Amino acid sequence: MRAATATRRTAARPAGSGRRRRRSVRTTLVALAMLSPALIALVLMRVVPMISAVSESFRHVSLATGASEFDGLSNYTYLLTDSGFHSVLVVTLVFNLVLNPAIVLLSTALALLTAQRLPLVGLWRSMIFVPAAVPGAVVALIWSTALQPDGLVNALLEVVGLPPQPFLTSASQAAFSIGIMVTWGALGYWMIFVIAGLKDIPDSLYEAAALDGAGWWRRLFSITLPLLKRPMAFVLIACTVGSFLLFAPVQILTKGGPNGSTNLIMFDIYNRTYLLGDVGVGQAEVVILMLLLAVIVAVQFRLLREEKA
Amino acid sequence: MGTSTTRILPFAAAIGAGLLLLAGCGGSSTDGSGGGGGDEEITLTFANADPAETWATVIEGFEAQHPNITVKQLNIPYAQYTSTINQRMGSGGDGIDLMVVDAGGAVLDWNNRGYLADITDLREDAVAAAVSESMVTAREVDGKLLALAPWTTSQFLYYNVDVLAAAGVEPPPGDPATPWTYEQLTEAARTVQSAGAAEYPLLFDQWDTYYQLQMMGVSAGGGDGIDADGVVDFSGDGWQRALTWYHGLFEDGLSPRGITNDKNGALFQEGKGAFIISGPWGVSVANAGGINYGVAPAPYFEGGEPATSTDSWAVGISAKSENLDAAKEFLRYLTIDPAGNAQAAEVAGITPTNKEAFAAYVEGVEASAGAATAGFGAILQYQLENNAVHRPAVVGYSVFEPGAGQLFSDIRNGSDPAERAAQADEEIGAQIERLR
Repeated sequence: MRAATATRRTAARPAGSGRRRRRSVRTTLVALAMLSPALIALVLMRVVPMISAVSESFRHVSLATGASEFDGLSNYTYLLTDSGFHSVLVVTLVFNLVLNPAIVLLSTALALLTAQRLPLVGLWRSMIFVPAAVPGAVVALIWSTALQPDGLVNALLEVVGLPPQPFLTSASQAAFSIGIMVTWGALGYWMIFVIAGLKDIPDSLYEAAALDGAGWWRRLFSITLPLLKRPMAFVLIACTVGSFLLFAPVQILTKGGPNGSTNLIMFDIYNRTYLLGDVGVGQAEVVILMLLLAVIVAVQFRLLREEKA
Repeated sequence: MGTSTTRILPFAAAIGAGLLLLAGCGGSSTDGSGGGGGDEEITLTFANADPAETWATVIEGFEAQHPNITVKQLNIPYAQYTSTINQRMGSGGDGIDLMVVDAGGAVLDWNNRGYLADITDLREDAVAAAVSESMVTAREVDGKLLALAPWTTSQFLYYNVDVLAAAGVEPPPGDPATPWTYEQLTEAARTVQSAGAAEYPLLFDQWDTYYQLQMMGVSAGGGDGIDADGVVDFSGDGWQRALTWYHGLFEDGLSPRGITNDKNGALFQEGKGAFIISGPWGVSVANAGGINYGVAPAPYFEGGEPATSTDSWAVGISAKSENLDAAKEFLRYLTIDPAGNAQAAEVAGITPTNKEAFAAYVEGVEASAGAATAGFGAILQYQLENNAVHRPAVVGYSVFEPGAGQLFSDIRNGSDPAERAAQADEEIGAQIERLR
């Protein structure tokens, strides 16, 4: 029946439409061929590993025999009832709840500061941006030396009369120390996005506000910050995704310690998968992380959509 | 538009197809062509966790003697080594003929999984050629020899002569039969500390690693910390004695917290440490600093047994190899042949296991630093023959070792040894049970 309808429709078309259709099929094929390198890369590097992670997360590999067998939801049950994983989730969530708003606020403050007519403003901006160009592993090594108990930071504290701090060797300060290190590396990068947002605000709005007698603070709260909501939302979400995937500083500096205080989820996945050889549980954790990130991305779209409306 | 589209289409498709082909190549296994011996061209693939240059010299030497055999390396980063081998061997093991096997449980795990060929026929020659029999037997499972070690290690107490003199401390004796106790070492470090003669009285080459601390637990009577059934015990008296001592070093400021393992050798080399417990490589590290140093045997706990950590990578043959004879020939060259074994250890600067290669190595090391290293060979040989402790080949070792590392690291950072050990016993035990 459907086929018959389709034939009638085709037959009803004028003669030129067949040529147009052939051309559009050819254009589609060309587009597909041009896209194929990217599509193949996408499939091989994203889709296949994702499918493999999901399928591995339902399997159990025996340490004794190496045999892998289907094990239903047991990896998920184990993870969700494991106190170790609960503490990984708490550490990761608290770390992100503190770190990301701090990065957004500080990068916005720096963007606002360097948007003022300061002498040598280009130099200040470059200096703030430079750490963003340093690879994460190098940032970690620089800070590991600075934060050593007899390192530079404690020497500075001593100069101003403060007692030396244990930093990375203390369960109560290690996550905070890693947070400072990440903030130092990330601020300049995120600041650029906020500066771009600032440049998008039309000068006419500020001129009109000035004519109405609005002061700097009033202009900040009534014009700048409301119009910066979009770039700030983007920075918050993108930065959160980045922070959830944080691995290098933990691997290089603390290996998740002291006492699990820096055992962020990416390090825990690495630890379970590669060090403990518990591949199934490691992949189940990857799936949980993907779901968490999917929720965050959904929130991002929601924030951006509200802004459009 | 139509013409240009027709031209672009095959071009773009070719790029896509090319990429597919590339991806296909990336996934394909390395080929191990040919069969057994004779003049047939054979390619052996040797998987290891080192940079290619580490094994290049010995491979060149072997290929010169065996023109029909080519040895191709598969260099895998250390962190991914075990998982890559598990994955490759688990999916058929195509293309891998030989692979390095870490000390400890790897030999047992891989035997249980059927990855390693039985090379017991090499045992007699290997034992005859090795510095000590236990170097060979440590890689046996159920009476089957599964790997041979071209390299070995031991532990020494290095001291800075000038620092000890400044603090008025008598250096430790060089006689391997009468080492210092850890108690004597602590006392000496305390004297250095109160004299302010060195920034770091006592350093270890590898803080928080099982390799470094196993000998302390064993010497204190605590055994390996794990038994043949995978039961973990760091809470017993022996390990508690060792861990409490370790904890105290950092509490009292005799040893530093927060210093990573890549820096310890350099600190001793720069004259900032009074003592460092380190491996044979400590000689070249100290030589490079031009400091006035001496070498003594590793300490033991008073009333306990002398014990020194040992071993390094061994090399095994894949049970799936189609080139068993050629692979055995290469393994024989790496370990039983004195010239080959010396070449195998040359680039890594590590101790060779073959008697003759060992003698030449010791001669070289002793000549490198005059009086400082005069007793080096005697200590090394004595320790390897009398009190070397091998990492235990038990199921679950791969879980146990990182767990032990986290335990030691937390204790170094101030955790209570008894509480943290009880937590480790439970957590590591449960993890091993889960993976059984």
